Amino acid sequence: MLELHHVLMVSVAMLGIGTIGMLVRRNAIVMFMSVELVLNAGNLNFIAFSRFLPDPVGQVFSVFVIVIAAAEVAVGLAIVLALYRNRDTVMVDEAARMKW
Amino acid sequence: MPEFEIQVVLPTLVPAAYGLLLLLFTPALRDDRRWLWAVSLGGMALAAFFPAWLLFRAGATGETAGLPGRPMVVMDPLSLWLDLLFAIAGFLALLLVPAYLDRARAHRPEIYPLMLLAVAGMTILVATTNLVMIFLGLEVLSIPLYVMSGLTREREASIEAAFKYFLLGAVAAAFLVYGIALVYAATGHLDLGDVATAAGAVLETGGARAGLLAAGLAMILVAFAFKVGAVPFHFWAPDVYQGAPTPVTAFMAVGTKAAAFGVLLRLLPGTAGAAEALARRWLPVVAALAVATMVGGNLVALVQVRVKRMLAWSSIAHAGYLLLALLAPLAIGARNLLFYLVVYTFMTIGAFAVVSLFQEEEGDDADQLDRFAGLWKRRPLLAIAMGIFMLSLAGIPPMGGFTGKYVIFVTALRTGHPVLAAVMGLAAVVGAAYYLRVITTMFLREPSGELPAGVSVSLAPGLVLAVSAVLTIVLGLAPGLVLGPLGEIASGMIGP
Repeated sequence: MLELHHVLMVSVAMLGIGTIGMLVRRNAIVMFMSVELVLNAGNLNFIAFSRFLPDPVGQVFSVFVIVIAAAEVAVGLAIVLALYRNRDTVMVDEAARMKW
Repeated sequence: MPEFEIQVVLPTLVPAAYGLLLLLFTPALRDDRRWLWAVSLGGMALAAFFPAWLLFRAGATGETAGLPGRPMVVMDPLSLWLDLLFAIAGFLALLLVPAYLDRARAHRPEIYPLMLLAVAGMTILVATTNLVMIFLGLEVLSIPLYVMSGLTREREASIEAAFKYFLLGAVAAAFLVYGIALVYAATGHLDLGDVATAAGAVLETGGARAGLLAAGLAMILVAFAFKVGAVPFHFWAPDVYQGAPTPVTAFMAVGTKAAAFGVLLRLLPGTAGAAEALARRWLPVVAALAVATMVGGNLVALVQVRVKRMLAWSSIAHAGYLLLALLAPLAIGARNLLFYLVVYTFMTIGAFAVVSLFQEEEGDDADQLDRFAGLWKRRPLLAIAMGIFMLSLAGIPPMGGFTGKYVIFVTALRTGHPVLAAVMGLAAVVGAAYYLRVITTMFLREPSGELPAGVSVSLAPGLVLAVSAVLTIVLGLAPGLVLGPLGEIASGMIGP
């Protein structure tokens, strides 16, 4: 039987992988994927709590998050594409010119 | 079944409708930029008119409107006042846009609908007590801003700004979702009122649920600290402010900050009001953020050689003062915070308006401090306007910035935060140094080298400068005009 804490462990693992990925990876697309992992960790939490509370509002929220995340992906990939055209790289260390 | 009252959503509906319609027609009317500009200005004026009208009709302490129970959209004096501020900031920023884009050789009319959509997002953000809507509003506000920062994509800095802003904004949004999920887990509610009620009981019993609640609120606080650019979550701000097109920077610096602080006003005191135990936990955290932000922002601003980047660091420092205002008891703290936001709007947009006039032939920003040398001899009026904004940002009487800082300082002193007040005083003194450096450069140094592309002030930016300068002085000389009504709004907020 799937218990609440099983789901939560997966979600915490996703949060951890996502956060570490954002900190250590330097490829813009991979960093972006890591952010999405954290976002979906939150989603998973919502659905799990909604199932076990039980309360339908959490599921509604996760639908909102999915829609917003889709819009964010569209804008984000466009920005990464523009960055690539401008600098010929998506490695953030090479792309960053502004410091301090 | 209560009837749906349309005026509750009017402040959001007007900019959203204008934005979507403009977005529809922009591809067909790419060449009629003046026309698109005029329509977007009209939309922004209407977006300012409706909150002002509703505020006038309801009276400053008028009852809140909305559906009974726990509505997802509320209309109260706080939200209306902030809606008005967003629309004014958007209007002033729009006035700067065509002159800047013409010089930058970036003819991108998409900026007009995006600006309206960002304003719509801000109005969603402040007109709710529901965490779902807060997330929704934050994203509707942020996504157009990501695009707008990268709009002049021929400039290397612009696309880098868009990318950094997007990546860190997405991180903040992801943390916000996770934080809301934890709060939802601990309390079973998403409305701030219900959360506050449940939080008291949860904290009393302690255990895993209390931990979840604390972790969730911490993550939400981190997300908003990102958005207001509080140290140590500020590192995106200087790059983004420097890289983004200057009118967008002006709008972003003012609008995002006002919107995020509007949410914090509901979030922190609202939650703490019902649960003293919670207040004891978040007060030291906000105090630490405020100190780090005031000191860090002012110190790093000292060593900047580009005026735009210096203003970015100064805007971080100002977020610190606003955080300090948040620590005071709600009735007085909210008044001080809102007053400071009003003054900040005009002096910051004015300062960025001056910077937006400094451009190279190729459209790059020519905002090095040296370019301002001897401005007084070449463009006296422009130098006087910039001088007014600098004095106000530095907090020197009789400018509005002084009054704003003064009320926050005195309140902090009287409500048991003398150390924080002292830090604020010292930080402001350090900060005055770099603002005064701009003034001495403009007035005392001899003009050297070329004035970039013959800085000229056309009608629209001139209007922005005049309005901002006059209001900055008026707010300093007669602060009662605004402080009075704001005081009534703030005392209305403690009610049920």
